[in-house]
Amino acid sequence: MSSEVLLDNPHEMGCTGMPHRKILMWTFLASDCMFFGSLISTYLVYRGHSTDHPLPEDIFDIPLTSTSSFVLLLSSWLMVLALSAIQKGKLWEFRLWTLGVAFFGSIFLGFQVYEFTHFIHAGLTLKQNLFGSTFFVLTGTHGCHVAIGVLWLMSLFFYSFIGGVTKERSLDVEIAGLYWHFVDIVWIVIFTAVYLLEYII
Amino acid sequence: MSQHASDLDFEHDGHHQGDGHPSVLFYNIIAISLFVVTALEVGVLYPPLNEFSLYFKVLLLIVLSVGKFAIVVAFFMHLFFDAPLLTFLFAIGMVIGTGTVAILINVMPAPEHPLQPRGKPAHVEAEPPGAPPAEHSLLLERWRVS
Amino acid sequence: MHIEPVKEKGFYDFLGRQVEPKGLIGWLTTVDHKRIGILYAVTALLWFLVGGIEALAIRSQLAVANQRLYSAETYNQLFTMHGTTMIFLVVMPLAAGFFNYMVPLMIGARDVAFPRLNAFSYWMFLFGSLLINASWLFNAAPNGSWVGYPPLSLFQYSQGHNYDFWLIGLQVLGVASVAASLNFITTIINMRAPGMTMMRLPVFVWMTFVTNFLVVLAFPVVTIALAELMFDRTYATNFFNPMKGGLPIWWQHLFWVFGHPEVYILILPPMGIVSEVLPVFARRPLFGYPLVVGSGMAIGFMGFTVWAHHMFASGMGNIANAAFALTTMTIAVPTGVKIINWVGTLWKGQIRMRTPMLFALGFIYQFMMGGFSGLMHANAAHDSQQHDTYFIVAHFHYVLIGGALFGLWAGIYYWFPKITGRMLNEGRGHAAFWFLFIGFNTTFFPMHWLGLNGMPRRIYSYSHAQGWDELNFLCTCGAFTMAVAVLLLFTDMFWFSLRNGEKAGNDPWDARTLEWTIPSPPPVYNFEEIPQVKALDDFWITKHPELMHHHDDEASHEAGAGHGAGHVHHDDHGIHMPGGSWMPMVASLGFAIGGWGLVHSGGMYHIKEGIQSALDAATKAGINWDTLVNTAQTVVNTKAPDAQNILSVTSAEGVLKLQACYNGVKTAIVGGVLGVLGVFLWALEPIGGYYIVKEKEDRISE
Repeated sequence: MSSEVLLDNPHEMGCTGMPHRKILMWTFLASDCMFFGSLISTYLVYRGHSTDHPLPEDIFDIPLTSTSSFVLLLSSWLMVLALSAIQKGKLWEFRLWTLGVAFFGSIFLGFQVYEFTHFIHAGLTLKQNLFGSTFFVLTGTHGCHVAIGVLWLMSLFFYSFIGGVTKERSLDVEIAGLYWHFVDIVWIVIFTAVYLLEYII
Repeated sequence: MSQHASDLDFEHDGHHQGDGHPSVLFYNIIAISLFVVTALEVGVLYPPLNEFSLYFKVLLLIVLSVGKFAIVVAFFMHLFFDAPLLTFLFAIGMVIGTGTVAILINVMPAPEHPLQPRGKPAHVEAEPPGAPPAEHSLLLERWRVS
Repeated sequence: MHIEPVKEKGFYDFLGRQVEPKGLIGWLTTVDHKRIGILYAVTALLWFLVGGIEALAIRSQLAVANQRLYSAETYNQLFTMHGTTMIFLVVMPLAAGFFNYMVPLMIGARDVAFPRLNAFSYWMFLFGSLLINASWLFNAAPNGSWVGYPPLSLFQYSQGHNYDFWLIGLQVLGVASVAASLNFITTIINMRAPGMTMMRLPVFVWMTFVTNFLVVLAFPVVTIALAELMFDRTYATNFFNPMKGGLPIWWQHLFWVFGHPEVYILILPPMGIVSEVLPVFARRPLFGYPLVVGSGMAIGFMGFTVWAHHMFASGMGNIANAAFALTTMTIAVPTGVKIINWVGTLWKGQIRMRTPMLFALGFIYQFMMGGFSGLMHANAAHDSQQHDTYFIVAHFHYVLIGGALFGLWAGIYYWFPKITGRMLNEGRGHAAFWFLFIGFNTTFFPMHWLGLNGMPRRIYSYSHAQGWDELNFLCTCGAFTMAVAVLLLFTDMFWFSLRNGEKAGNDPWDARTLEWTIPSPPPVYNFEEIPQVKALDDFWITKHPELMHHHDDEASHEAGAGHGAGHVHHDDHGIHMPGGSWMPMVASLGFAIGGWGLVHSGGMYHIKEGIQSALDAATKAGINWDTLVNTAQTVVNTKAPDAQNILSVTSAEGVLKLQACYNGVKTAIVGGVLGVLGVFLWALEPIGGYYIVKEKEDRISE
């Protein structure tokens, strides 16, 4: 697809001087705040309501979860580097960082799979108690968001080999980046509200 | 500071710092400070927990994670450099979202007899009525107005 | 004028988007906001007939005491589907039809910001509505009211797929609404014509803007609530299961956090329509435009702070009751401001009693009535008497029919000439108005008394001794009177006026907004030249400078958005139009098939738990799943346990149900993959489309 067509495309930019997709993405993220807000409040409201074991304190593993939090932060860092690279037109650097983001995103998912397996062996299932229901649905939904992000970034990675990602089209990367960072900030909230506060209150 | 990124990416509002997006060094500094804050958050758990440190720890955790959240949104997501309109759009969701969550947590009933974790000694549950609530749910009880 | 396709280069030619498709394919692949608007409106009107028939069936059952027209179970399904249909399949999409058709025209744009996303929203809506109504074919229509309260909607109490259809159907409709809303927010922010500042937007566009924010912020909450209930039903989680400590009241909170903004989602667009209609037919500019806009925003924001007034009778405690009573009463203030402004617009106006005006006036009166009864049960103490009685039924029909529907009908009569190029018949329009007005008040006014006399909501039948006979009969008579009005509108709209109506011309009402500056029906590119807007009610100022003396160019010094370079830079090529695309439909079809699969996996883990002992025995005996299913089929057919005595007739039925669930999961996966594939192909599609190039000598207009 030639870039002339794109630059000509009147459907791209608007009267506020911002691209449509950026406005759409931020509005979508506002909407996702409500989405995760409802899930997190479900978890918090049901804290202490479980009638059966295991409870969070029986099975949480803070060093493990902290490590996966670091991994997700690391991927966020690489994401800004990827965007910065493509904005300067450094295609190979972009590919490297994007692959890194997707890689660390997958590592995060791996930690989550390990954690879920571990919990299920410890007797915590979706239907065991309220903690299981709320915990798995909350962190599972977040995991799905991460997985979609990985899929998205890998698509951009492969797309860059057939000329789909260029300096002129860095907006595509920026939008994907916004999504990825949002997934990261949701984890910041979950990590504090679900894991860390569990040990204090 | 990098030169302007692309033709599609121009901005009209005179609200940004410099002329576009920050340098890689800046991102690196932000990332390192995020790592440090996360390490601090985990570190908060380790000093002994008592009546006094409880409140301090909760406050500290909330401040630290809100700070992390703000840093990622402002710098990694470029909200600080971008048009205020985008901040406004996101703020609508954040304000209504956090408000709703806060109200929901407050109007929902607190558990009457919270189950104790397996590690806790049995006598905690056997305490006479009227005794102060177990450490586990100390703040929870005060936090929720039922 | 001629058409020049965009030349595609490279790799993806095989995906090339249709260039100006025609005929049926043109409608299926359309990305034109006008066609999508028509599709929305026509689909919504068809569901309006279905919902209306359900309403008549309900009223017929309640016409006299001890009536047994059909079973109580059918009655439950009817009132549940009546509510669900009217809210999600009629009022919302009919408003969405107007958003689609009118918003780009009113802001001076050639289309919405994301034309294919717009088509995706429509197809999601269509398939979602079909999914939820497909439940009738399985005699499994949702049957526990449109609020779906657990524990009634948990698997333990509702073992059919009734609630699975409802949950997944609403989920699909929710995706449609959120996608459409993101699109319209972007459109209104970013596609305004040069000079069209935010404070020069027509009020209808403003109300669309606020409504779409409400959709974007409220629907995620119900998405979570529906997902939690779906998990409870399918995967045996405990969110609302009291046996495991779950709190059914949590559903009520989540549902109403969504549900209350939802009622403003229903009413704000008609308020916008009325704010457009009144000034045109009163020949005066809207009184207090900034106040009308501001109160719309205030209503939207406060809509998120009042949800628990739906739950005063649930024992939340005095503090919560008092707080929510207070916020609820406060919301009457911005609503009152709007009514004052509408009345202020009429004051000293030269009122023309055309049909749209009649409906707009009906709206003001009846919405005010509904607002007053709303204030009555904003008082928590008062509400404990009225909760779940016919008083509530009267209240919300006053705001939703008397308000929303009258407003939407005003919109139909007002904009039909623009959409079709022909006027609706005035005589039949007046008749329809009076039938609807009289029928509506006859139906719903007596319900106030019935409610205060203790008639509960959703009751199947009643006896003579309760003393509700006469009023109920009156209500039923009113309902059939309303049906006459609907018949009048539909025959006129789809037959008489569509074929033989008087030709409308560009501007039959002498109106104010940009859509009236272009031909009716508008050409595919809307505006030959993107208009330059200099003031609020620009078109009117141009036509009637004398009407507007106090009003001129108040907003010209506003800072911020306005002068877009984005729109006008393509005159050298002509006007770029996007080509049609199959992908939105393919993607939404995929997701709908996935939804169909999820519906049929409903209850999976509960069923599995029920037959666990039989499954264990089969594992012990070394029988694999396929053999077990075959055995189960034989057992069910012969109605006798099998030779090894593993499956009783009941557990054999369980095995077959479980097999159906597994098939459902497979269908869901297939559908999901198809949907994601559709999205990918959609993302890869080239820009395509075509340019409409005007020759020097021929102008495009007329």
